[in-house]
Amino acid sequence: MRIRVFSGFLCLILLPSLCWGSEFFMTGVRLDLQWYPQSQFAGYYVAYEKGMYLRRGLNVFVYRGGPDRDPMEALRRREADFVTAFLTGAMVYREGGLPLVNLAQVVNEGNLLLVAQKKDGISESFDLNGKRISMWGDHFSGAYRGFFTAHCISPEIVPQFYSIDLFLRGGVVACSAMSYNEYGRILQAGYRQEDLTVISLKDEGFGFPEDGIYCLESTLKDHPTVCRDFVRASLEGWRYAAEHPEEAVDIVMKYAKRAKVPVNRVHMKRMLETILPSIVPDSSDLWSFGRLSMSDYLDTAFMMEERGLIGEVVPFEDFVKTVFEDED
Amino acid sequence: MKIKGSIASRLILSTLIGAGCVLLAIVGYGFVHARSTLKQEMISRVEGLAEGTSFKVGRIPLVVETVGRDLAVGLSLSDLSEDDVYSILEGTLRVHPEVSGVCLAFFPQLKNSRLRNWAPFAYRDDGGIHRKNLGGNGYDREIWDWYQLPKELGRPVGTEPYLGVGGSDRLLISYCIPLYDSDGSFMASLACDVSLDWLTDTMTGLRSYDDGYAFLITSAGTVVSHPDRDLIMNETIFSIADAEDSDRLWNIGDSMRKGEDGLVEMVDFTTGEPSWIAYRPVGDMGWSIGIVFPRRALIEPLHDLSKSQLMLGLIGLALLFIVSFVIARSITGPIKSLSVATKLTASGDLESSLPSVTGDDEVAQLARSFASMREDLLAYVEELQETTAAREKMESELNIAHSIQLSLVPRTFPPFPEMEEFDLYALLDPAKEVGGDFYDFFMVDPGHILITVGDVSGKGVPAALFMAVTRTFIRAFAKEGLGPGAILSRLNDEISVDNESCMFVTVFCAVIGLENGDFLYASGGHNPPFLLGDGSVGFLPKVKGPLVGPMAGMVFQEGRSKIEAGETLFLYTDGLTEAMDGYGRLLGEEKSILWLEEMDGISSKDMVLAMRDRTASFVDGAEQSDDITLLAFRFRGPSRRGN
Repeated sequence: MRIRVFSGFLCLILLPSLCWGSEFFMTGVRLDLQWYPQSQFAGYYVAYEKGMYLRRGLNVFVYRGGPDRDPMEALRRREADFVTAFLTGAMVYREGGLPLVNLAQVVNEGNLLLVAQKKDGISESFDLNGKRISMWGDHFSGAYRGFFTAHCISPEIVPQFYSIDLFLRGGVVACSAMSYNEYGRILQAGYRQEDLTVISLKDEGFGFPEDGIYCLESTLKDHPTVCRDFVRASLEGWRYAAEHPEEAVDIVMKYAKRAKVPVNRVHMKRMLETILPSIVPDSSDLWSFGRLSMSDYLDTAFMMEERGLIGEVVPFEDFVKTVFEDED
Repeated sequence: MKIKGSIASRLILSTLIGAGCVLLAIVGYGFVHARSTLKQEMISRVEGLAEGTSFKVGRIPLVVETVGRDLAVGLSLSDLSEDDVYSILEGTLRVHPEVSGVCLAFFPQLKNSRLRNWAPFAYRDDGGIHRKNLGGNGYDREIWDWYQLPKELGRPVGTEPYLGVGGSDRLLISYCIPLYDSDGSFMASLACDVSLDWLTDTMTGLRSYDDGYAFLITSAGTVVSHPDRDLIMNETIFSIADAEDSDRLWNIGDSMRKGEDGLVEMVDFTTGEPSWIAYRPVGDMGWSIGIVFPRRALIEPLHDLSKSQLMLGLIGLALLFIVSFVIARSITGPIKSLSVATKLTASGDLESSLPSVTGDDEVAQLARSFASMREDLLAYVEELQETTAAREKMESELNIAHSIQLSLVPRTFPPFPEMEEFDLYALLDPAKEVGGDFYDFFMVDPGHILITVGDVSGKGVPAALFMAVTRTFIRAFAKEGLGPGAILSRLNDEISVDNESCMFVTVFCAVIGLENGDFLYASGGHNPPFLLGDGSVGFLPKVKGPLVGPMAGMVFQEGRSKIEAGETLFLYTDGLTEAMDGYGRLLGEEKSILWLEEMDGISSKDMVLAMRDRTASFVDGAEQSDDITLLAFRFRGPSRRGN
């Protein structure tokens, strides 16, 4: 367990920025994000930068993810206290025996795309039939496979990982893409929107909630207040980012540079603009900000079950522990 | 264009405009030419840089392919040991310092269980070469482009730069090739890592530009070399284009990505300066190199050159102005002086000084011609003055002669009003220059009248005086009672004495008896008179007689004839028969006779005046060349006064 409680008496220097735990009962927690610093995680970086965690007595250490760092492994090893993960991914890990729970659902709409080039003769879903396409595997594959089944198409699948280069080099006619990330990178590699065929899985009925905040059941049980405060601060960060997108992008850029991650502002700005609508709902009847609805959970879970990605559906109330209510 | 003003200003203006145009054309051509040369030079620079980079970068594929072939052959023909493979990989690192790591990653689904979990990796770290198996313990080689791209594309591939893991955190690019076993099925990917820093250093080493900079982008547009290191890996040329909202840059990126080359003018996105960007593909990985030159750096030397050319040109123009001013002055100065001189000359001053012009050019010739013209004019005027004086003298002489001539002939008609036997009328119509004609008549005795008509050779006063002398002699000799022949003979003798100028006179002389009309006549070379009567006209019978005056001792035949009452004796000089019309035709005797025939019966006065008028009509304004003398003697018959 890495959550530590420090006594203020032990700290002689009362400068929060220099001495973590300088406030009374300051709690140090570690958040592991799925990927490199980017606008997909703007809310967390904003909450960190703007002191929203500190104000709640949380001294947060934000760790980047990446191909070399799997947050779930960190969680499993109890190195991380909180992680962000796709709902589908979390379900797979839970199935695999990692007792994690959903504290908040940040991204409530799906952003998965299939991107193809019109010049390859792809202008609609069916054109992909029999074509060689690259696709993310694991938990991502559920939505894609559901989409292929629904459209009675069976492309030749090449596994896709972190790179879209195989697509850019014409190794495949289509590739998986997040609307806020890979699609933007394809555009930044010199493709024009009008030259691309973009299939949004959400529009095809295969959109599933994505990033959520997870921790182990034990963490929630032992430190419910910390969990609550952490989620509240994170969502506050997201709200702030939604209201101050430029500043949020600046903050993201700062941490991306610090992590020496290749990133550019145009891409980050576009990423934030693209992902925000799936986080902050236009109207309250779509979803409730930060909350995973039972219907979305069950839709996702049944889809995963149907695709054979999970064996059984964990009851909603066991998996989803919304803990941030009642602030204000 | 029409330039007004003096020749000098026109000359100067035309020269300056002409030279100015030539100057501008030269400077303009020089500018354009130099600019295209500079552009060409820039293109060749980018070519050189691209070639240099291609050469350096292009070695890596060769290395990988050589190593790959060795390994493939080794693995398929002999069962290479682990150590052998590592040795080959490490050997590659030793020979090629630019390579930071080599990895041979076997296909995890290989039948060969020894190989499928094996991914021998030799890498450079802390100055040494290390080995490592990437085939197990958490490193999933299958997710990496360097493994996947050659496998899936089935050809050698250069990856996009990526953050290296394991050995170091440096940005790497990998050149990787797929290896196949003897069945042709995929066996492994062989990847050769090169640090991006090495590439940037290589580019810096190849630097061949002072003001500009070079940058390198991958096939995906990612900036992998740029003096602004913040851009490297972070930006693609398209993301910069998006950020700058520059379609032009986007299109340049598109062109570079497609492996084209070009030279485009654009605003540099890093400095905001108007610049030229030249680009061309480099290597065979789909990369492209661009060189950005600030327009300032390209154009400024050109501007300096053009400026100095213009300055020199302006100095040249100023010199040209001075020279053309001097030339124009040298031309127009004398012309102006000549113009003044011409005005003076025109006003009559032929003595005014002329501008002195040296040399042999057109102006000098003009000046000399003018001087010569003035001299000629002066000479002419002098001559004219002399001629005029002579003419005036002659005219006064003529006037005198005229007076003499006219004063010597009787001009009162009728001359003898008491004489009813005849009707006489005479007329002397002198020509402009006195010819020396005369007529005379007088009563020799109460029963005889002498009529005479003569024509002195020569003109002017001498002729008039000669005529006076002749008349006087005739009168004198007639008084002595001599007949016409004798009169002429004596006359001839008298005037031939001391006749050094050899003057002579033609004379017709008749002495008419008034009782019956008998008369004697003689002629000294004179035209024979007409005798009119009964509507017919005839000549008096000819008598022999030479010209009077040239030689003494001559005999003049005397004729005898008779004039009947009503007949008219018509005397005349050659002024009548030789009167000339405008066409040079002579009046002649026939015409005179015809005219006289029509005048039968009219009075002497009417006859003479009519003949004079007709002659005037005949010559029709042509100048009268000789005196015309007409004398008509109409015999009325003997007087009945009864004497």
